[in-house]
Amino acid sequence: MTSFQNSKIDTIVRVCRLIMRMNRTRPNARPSEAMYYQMLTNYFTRLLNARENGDFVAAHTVFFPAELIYAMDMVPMHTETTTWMTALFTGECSDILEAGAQLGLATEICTPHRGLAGAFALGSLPHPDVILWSSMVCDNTAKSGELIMELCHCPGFFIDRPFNDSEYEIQYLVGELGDMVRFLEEKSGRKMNWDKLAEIVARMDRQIELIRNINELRKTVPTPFHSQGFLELLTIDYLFPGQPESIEYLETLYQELTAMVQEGKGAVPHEHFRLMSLFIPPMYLIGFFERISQEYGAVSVIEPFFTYWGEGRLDRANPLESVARKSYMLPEARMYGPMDERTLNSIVDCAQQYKVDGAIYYADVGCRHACATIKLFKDTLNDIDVPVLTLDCDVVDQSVTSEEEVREKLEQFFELLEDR
Amino acid sequence: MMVDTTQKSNVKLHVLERFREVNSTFPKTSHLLDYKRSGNKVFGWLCTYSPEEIMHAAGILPIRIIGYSQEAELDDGNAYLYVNSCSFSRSCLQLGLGGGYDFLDGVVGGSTCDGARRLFDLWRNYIGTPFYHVLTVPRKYTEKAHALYYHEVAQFKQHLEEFLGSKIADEALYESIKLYNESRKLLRQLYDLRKLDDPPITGAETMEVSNASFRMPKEIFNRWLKDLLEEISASGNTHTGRSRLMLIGSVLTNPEFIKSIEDQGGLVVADELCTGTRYWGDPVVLDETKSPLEAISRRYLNNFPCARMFPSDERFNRIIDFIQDFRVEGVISQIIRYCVPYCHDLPLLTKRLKALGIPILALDVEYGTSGSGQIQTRVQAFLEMLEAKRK
Amino acid sequence: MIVAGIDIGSRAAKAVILKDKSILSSAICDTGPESVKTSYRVMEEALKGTGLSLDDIQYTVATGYGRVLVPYANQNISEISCHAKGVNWDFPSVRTILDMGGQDCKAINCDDGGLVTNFVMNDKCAGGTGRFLEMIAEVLNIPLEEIGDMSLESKSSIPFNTICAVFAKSEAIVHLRKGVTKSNILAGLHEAIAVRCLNLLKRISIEKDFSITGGIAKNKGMVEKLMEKAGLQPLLCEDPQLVGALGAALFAEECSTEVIKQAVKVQYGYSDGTGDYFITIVTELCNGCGECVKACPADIFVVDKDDDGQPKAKVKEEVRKKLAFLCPGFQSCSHKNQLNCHSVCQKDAIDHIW
Repeated sequence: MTSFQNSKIDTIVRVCRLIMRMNRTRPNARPSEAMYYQMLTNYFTRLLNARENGDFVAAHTVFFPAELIYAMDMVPMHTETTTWMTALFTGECSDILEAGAQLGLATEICTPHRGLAGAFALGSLPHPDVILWSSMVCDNTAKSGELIMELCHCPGFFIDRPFNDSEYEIQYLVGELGDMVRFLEEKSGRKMNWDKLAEIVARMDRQIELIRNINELRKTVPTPFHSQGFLELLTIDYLFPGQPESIEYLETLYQELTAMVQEGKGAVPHEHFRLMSLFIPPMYLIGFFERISQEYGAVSVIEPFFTYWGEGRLDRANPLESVARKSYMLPEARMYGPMDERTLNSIVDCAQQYKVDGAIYYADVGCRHACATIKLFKDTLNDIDVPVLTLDCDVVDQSVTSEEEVREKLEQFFELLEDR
Repeated sequence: MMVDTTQKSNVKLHVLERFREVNSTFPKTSHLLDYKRSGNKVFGWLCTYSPEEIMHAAGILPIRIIGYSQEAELDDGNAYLYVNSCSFSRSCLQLGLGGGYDFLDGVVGGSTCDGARRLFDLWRNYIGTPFYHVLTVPRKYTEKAHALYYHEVAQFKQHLEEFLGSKIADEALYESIKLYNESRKLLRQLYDLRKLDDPPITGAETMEVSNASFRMPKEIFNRWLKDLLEEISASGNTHTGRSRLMLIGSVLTNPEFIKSIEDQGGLVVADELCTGTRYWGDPVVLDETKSPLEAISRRYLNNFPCARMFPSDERFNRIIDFIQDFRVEGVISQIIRYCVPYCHDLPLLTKRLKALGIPILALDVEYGTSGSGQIQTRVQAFLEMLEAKRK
Repeated sequence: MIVAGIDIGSRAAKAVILKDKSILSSAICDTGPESVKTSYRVMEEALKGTGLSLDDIQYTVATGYGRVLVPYANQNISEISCHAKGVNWDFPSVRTILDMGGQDCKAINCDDGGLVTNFVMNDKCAGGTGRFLEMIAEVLNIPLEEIGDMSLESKSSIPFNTICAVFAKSEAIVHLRKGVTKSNILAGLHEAIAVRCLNLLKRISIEKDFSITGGIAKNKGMVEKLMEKAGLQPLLCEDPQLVGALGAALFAEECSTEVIKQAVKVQYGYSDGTGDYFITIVTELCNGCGECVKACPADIFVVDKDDDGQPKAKVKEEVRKKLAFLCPGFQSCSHKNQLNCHSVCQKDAIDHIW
């Protein structure tokens, strides 16, 4: 493996800084947005300098409880997000996808995972001291770790997160987390700081509360939070669980949105369509969707799999168990559990509470378990008279669809919504 | 070079015809229909982590859900599962949506892979089978994982007892274990015949027997397989080929695919398929320290692994053992498009095999394929390569 | 020793005749829809001017897409093995070959004897194959032979993210409308294809010496890009399209020396839309007893003198083209007739493919 070429992470850092500079010149730029980009800058800068600083880098997959990494004063590296950010900030990621293919990974393996394996192979990501992965949320994640261990010559730990949220299964997960802590202690020579973890868990509880409160505000007509803003909420959850900056960001955002609601201001001048986003739009079209949002007054008011948290509280007195329970409270947990009455009803509730006119399903061509629910959700939502548009795309691979195609489909969908 | 892998000089195996009959009439086989007519229940199960003995002990006939035997039009499957789900799950769903499984009283499976998970999600919402149960299957082999799986198996048993309104006694479980272990032993005997230099049975023929094993009552299957073993022994049949191959990868039930390899002269002497070796796999080991339920759950989790399990070395080591036992010269991996766990394993497995000097041919297939021209070209080139290597 | 190799590709059929281990002649023609007819036609072409006929050829090996359909072939060998063998003739130092054919792309590792040690194929789609470039040439309205050179004229190539034939076509048209020059578009496409090829090569191993075969090897633009990607100067055979047929002929040479002692077989029959219908008679084993002539209910056989004046069983000339109408195949016939050509043949010299 080639030695770490920091170009991609470097680019992310530079682009974040650029965005922050640009934001300073915008009259109505949100302070919370500036905080968000500062957080990203700090995160990736920390990664860039980890080696030099003698930090212990723990790479981990999506939905992995990074709280535990923070509690041990290690530097977390979120693998899939880094791949997405690469696509978002550098404009393309074909080289890491090609590198993934050269390893012998089939194109059926979704781009975030092919890309991250390729990125490790190319040396575009900092060398981790350990790779931590879990079975959340699909086979790709569950199987990604061993190849990374081989590519990076580092030890790894796999967390087997069970399918259902029965008490037994939650306790099994607690056991897995405990084993992982012991593994990390052994590999790093550091001890888990249980007090610090309790603090982080308490903050995470507050973090979830704040997101729920923000979501309450989004129920307002017109909705105050701009369409693709949910990406910030998502990233905060993935990269900064239970961190003080997250609380600061969310409290600031909450105040901003409260102010807007009080003034009756919406994210777009004329809110025309309230949309529910099912699954994640392609990273490289984020800007495009923002523009569409402004143009057509179509706003994404809620994302059941990314921002709509399930019931429950975290208890600092039982930190490990809380982290385990959180795994079942996550918005994404709905994707991993059974598609039973409970899950389908929660989607219906979501649509009704947020007064949704229509839903967009981003059919990521590499995400088979997400696409397999399209018909089911369509039928479920059609039952309550909410039409669903399916957009074939890929979260990072630009060749799957183009702006023109997406625009056409959206326009047709908006016409349909208009006619109702 | 025309190679004689035909049965021109070999005698026809009449017992094999019986198995073929079951396979071709499945699922509406005479056994199944008789079973239902006498008021008994038939359950469908998906994948090797579903504990059959429990269903059998409850007086149920467990048969495997394996979709269509050939590549089929999967319009409904595509509409519900979407085109990027593996064709195996789509094939099963297609058959299910079309009423092909409407005789089932229950459907049982595990949360084994994304394809299976989603198949069950859609089954539960769109196909009304009276009894439905999905077990959580851990991905590890640790004692904690065994405890979880045992818990799941016990829950399943309880759910089944509630459904049937009667308990499943330990005695019944012991009987079922005995019967299933007998099947496993007999299938192992059949496979062991292929350790010979010129095996008396081909890979395609073995698949036909294997296919029948999960499509019919084990009581009858065991008797027939004993008959077949006798017939083979008396036949003096032999099959020669250019090289000894092992077939690994995703679920496969179409013997035509294996035949298309063997027609080129590649003798398939071993496999790692969940419809082959992994099905009979290990026996349930009984001892005084374990209840029959514990013995069953331990066997099923420890069985020859699916690629979904961790660590993948468990699977790789078993494959390598087979390669050595059966003196395999080349491995053919056939992976269904979108079969993610197997796709991920391939780079690491290729590396392990390369270190041992075993070449591997990687084929992309769809479920039910019988072996297109493109596949034949690759297989032929692979066989030529193996021959060149021997020189 | 006169032997032949014939390569029936999806687009073009090629034949090479070797006499005493050197190339006597060769021919290329379009495959068209009827591979059997083509196999005769291209051989005829190759035989022209040599003073030889098909019967003079002692051993033929067929390769390529249509290899099983060559009625006069003694054997068929995969095009992968044949390419390695063919390249080895010109360049025994080559260890890595990239073959870009009409419908697929292959990366091959071979040893100093031209034997394959590893290979990987890509035929999931048309992207990156001859057919793809043909389509692009059409869209851009440029003759196929010129696209390579034109791509080299580019000063700034346009990146193409995909070489999926469907998407790339529309992408190219969009660029054209925007006023991007054809050479820049071509350069971009060639780059994208080269990346695809590199992926394939990396799945085996890139060792020197390196060679590119197939029709696309004549495209200078492609060769440039591939050289850049592989980091190796490719050695190009004089006629990259003939490599497969040449390799097949070389195998024929090897096999024929083995087979001289072994049986020589003659195959009669044909393939059509409903299947393959061939009867083989191992003339070495046949003693001309004539029992098959008597036993066959359809009167297909005749005993005649062969080139050495020995009586041998043959399938009658006039029935060869309608074999399936007269003979129901071995299974069917033997079911109804206990006495049939296989059962009466003491030497086991007759075989049916159906």
